[in-house]
Amino acid sequence: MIRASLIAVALFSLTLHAGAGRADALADLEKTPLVRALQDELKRSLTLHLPGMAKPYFIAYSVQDAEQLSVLGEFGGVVISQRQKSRVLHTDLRVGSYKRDNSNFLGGGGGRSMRLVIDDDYAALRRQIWLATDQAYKGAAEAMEQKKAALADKKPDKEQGDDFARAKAVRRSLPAAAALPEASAAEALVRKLGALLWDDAAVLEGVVELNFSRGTRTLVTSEGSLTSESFGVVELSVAAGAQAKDGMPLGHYMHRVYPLTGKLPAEAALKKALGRMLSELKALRTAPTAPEYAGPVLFEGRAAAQLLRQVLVPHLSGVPGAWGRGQRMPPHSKWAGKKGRRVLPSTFSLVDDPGLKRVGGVPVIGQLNVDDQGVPAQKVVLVKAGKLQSLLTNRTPSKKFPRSNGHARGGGYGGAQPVPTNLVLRAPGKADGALLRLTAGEAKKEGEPHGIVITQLPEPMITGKLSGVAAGGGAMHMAGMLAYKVSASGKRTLVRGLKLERVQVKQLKRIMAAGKRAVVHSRYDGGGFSHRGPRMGLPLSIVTPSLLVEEIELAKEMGSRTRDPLLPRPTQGR
Amino acid sequence: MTGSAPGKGKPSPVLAALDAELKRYQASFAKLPAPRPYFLGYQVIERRGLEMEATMGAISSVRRDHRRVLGVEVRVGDYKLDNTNPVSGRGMRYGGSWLLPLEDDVQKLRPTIWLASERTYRQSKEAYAEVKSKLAVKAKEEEKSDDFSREQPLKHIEPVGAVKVDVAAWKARLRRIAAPFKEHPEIFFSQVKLLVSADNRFLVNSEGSRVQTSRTYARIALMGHTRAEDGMDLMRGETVDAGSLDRLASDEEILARVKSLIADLLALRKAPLADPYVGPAILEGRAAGVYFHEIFGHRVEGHRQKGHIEGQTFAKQVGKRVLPEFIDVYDDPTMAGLAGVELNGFYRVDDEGVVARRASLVEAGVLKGFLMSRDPARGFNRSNGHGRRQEGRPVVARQGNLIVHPRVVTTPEALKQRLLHEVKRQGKPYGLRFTVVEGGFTNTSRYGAQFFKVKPVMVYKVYPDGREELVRGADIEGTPLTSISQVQLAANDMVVFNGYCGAESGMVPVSAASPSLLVSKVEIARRMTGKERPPILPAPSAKAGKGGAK
Repeated sequence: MIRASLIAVALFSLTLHAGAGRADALADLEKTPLVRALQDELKRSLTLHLPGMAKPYFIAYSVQDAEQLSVLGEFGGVVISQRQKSRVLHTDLRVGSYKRDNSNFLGGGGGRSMRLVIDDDYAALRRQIWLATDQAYKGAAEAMEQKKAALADKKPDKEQGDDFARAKAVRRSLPAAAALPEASAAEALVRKLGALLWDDAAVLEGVVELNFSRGTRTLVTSEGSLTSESFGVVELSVAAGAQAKDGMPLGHYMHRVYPLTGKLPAEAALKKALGRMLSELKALRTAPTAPEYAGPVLFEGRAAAQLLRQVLVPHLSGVPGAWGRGQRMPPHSKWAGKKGRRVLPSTFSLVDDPGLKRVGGVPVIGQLNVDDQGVPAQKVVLVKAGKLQSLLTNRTPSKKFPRSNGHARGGGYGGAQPVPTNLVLRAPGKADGALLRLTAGEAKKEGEPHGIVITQLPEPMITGKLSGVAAGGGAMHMAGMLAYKVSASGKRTLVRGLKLERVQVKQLKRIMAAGKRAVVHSRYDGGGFSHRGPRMGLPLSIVTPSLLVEEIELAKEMGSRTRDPLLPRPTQGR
Repeated sequence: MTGSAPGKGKPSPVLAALDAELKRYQASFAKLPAPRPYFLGYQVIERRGLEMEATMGAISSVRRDHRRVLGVEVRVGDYKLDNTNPVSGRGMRYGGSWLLPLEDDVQKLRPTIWLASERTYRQSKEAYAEVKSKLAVKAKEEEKSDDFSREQPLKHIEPVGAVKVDVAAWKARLRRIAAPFKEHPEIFFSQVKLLVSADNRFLVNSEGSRVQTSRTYARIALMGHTRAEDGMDLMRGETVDAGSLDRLASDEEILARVKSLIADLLALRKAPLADPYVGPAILEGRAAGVYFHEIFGHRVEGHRQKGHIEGQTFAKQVGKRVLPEFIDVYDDPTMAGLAGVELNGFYRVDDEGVVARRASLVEAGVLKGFLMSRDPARGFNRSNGHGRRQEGRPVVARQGNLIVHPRVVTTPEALKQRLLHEVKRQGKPYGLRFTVVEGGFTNTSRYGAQFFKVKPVMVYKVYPDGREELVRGADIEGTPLTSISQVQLAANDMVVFNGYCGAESGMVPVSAASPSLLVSKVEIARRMTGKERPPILPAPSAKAGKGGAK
């Protein structure tokens, strides 16, 4: 279905000196007004000093140049079409030393974000960088004083390493991403897909959103790093609302993320996928409601990836907890203290691979060459034979994870947190039929007459765009769950009205089986427009087989039952 | 642009789509059992615009905007009592807003109008039931006005407007206009912003109104921000407005404004702090306009005369003296220009489909009336065409062109002489002169004191010998009824202030016009100051590789 080629991302070796980008590209980068302004101001800013306060020992400037084209359609029309550029500077200024600096302390720091001019005007850029750095220094120096005071009567923490890990200088300039398409072409595609929604009489409302984002991150640090790296993604969301005969509001959606190639996503394939979505929505209208359930659930295809993103991704960071005023905060990750212990079934492995380009012919989008703290992004084996080997790290070390593996993303102080890029879960798998029969068989052991298969979980960010007329003005954000009853013979029947109760990361230890085929599920979270212009998101791909999880609770959706609309949809002239 | 002759336009497909859904719902509402909707109104506000920002000679953003926002009003009950009655506690009578397709295609527009109608109808029905049940258990309010005024339906169609901007040429112009700030690193933040928009409004309602209006706006907003050595932040803004891009002032005129703004900021940095003071002052034209807009205009908005939350400053003052005898005040949205300046608050029809009319507020110092939307207040049952809103917000009564019109005037020189006289008479060390006011705010609700604050930017001490000295950090404070009664004398120098005013119904373009006024007593308080120290390193040199400027 996806016939897109990837943004050229050079695979590089992990020896720091060998993989430097094309030398002439680097020389060109150094001549740009932006990089000259950053480097000139950086040199000067190392001399910042307030009497009696700590001096800067590290400064990093990360500039994000983002460009976005966003088209939002409702039924066959376009309601928003906007294209905009922005340039944002994130400053990470640290005072003190690598051993003890102003970081890892709640409530203040040397991170600042500032919008820069989009013109490549050296003088204007430098003035803005000057002021941003001044603010960052004052914030860092103040935080350092507060941290010293807060830690003055505390015993040293054995778990704690330095505040900031050293890193070797990296110098690379990677090619820019493809250009954004013309707005008119994107609008035409949105209209076509929207018209398909409107043509379906069962659909009460429908929205189509198509976003094209490209960005370049330029990093300059006082350690001598200079890197520039680009990415580009296309994100398509379609959501539709309908009503079951008994008034239950129903929603469905479709979500695709592709690498940006300069070409629009292939229309025929999208129409086919949309047709499938609409027939599923129609089937939901007459599907029986299901009673609440507790037992094994098969998360099939995309639903397995959605489950991992919700349940597992928040626990992949190896960053230690920061100091508060009274005490040290616990680390956010529930896996933080589990190195060497079993966290997944013993036949499972989990890897994060920033260099991966495609899986089974399908492109992944999480490629990363150098992270936002200037560390080359490395392939990390997170889990081997079910046991936790490592977590994703930035330059905030802990005793267990003392080095950065180049996964820090996001700007500003404390903002560059380790996140996955291309997350790949592998396990020995069963064929589809066998997996379905196993699901039903295991359910029977739990006293449930049927097993449950979930093929799609709700995405509130997508269905929340519906105005909710099908829900009588209520929210549609929980819509989009697709669940089936599965019988002992492996036959499946669509059901509606189920809601997935909270799943905890420890439940992943109890995965009973996996499927043979892996799906690629890509996301671009955190992007979009703020009132200040386009924001950069984080591209992420998750590759996983279907997963049968032992003990899952499904509750009954208690949503409203709405009367039919007062008037039918306007149809004259169609 | 003329103020009186409505253009002959062609009805847009937007109007046709609204009309088609209106007819469907009207027919369907008629068949419903009581209580049923008695009024249905749609308004689409379409904005086609461009915003461009520059700083220190470089562009920082370009944003095009085209959106159509639909507002729906379904009223259940009758004109006397409906779902919008304030007893419901739901606040604004408003069903929400929807983005409408941008195509001029009736069939593409209708689905969203249908969706919005369904949702608003349900909300209004629920709200009406709530009103009825709450009225049954609550004490009778003192207020007995209707919930909605009866008005004549209006048919008024103007041509739909658009904006054309040569983006490359304007980028070059903005870079040039923003460049002088480069020479002044002590002005650490500056911005030059171009705002161009065509504002098209489409309205239909079940009473038979069909209205299509259009206005264009162009504005260049200049802003500079500096910090005094003691950490006080000082801001100075200027705007240049016109009814269209080609009528904006020339670059040379705008650059002259930039230079005087820079000079003001540099002078303010060095100016001594103002001391708390009570005494006579001159409010120069634009400052006087803003002063009246804040302390008087907002308090004569009709909806503030009712409800238990509002302070109702003027509710029982009708027919009584509120200003000196020599002053008239009116609000006239139908004026397109005054004193050679285009008025921002000009419009022909308001956002409830009522023809804009001059509202006489004060005659010979006596309060005569209010700014009225279709939300009646006791004794004022009709709208005078002041129901206004920004897209996506509910309509309330707002100002348009507020004009302070004295019957007796003198020259600006004579006004200053009177100030000096008043300083001596009151035994004060000096008087004050306010030339630029940045804005202000006023509390009209019963929560908190009935007071206002106006933020002057350029304030001069005027000593008995006529000498003047710039001071910084003064805020004018006071209570409205006493403050406006202190006006003693007016000059013959009518000046227009064009701006955008924010309130419950969002930002609306307004003007305030006034001559310079001598006020026998103003009270100023010292402004809060920041604690940030100026940048540690000197400003960088404009040339690559160099360190800081000397």
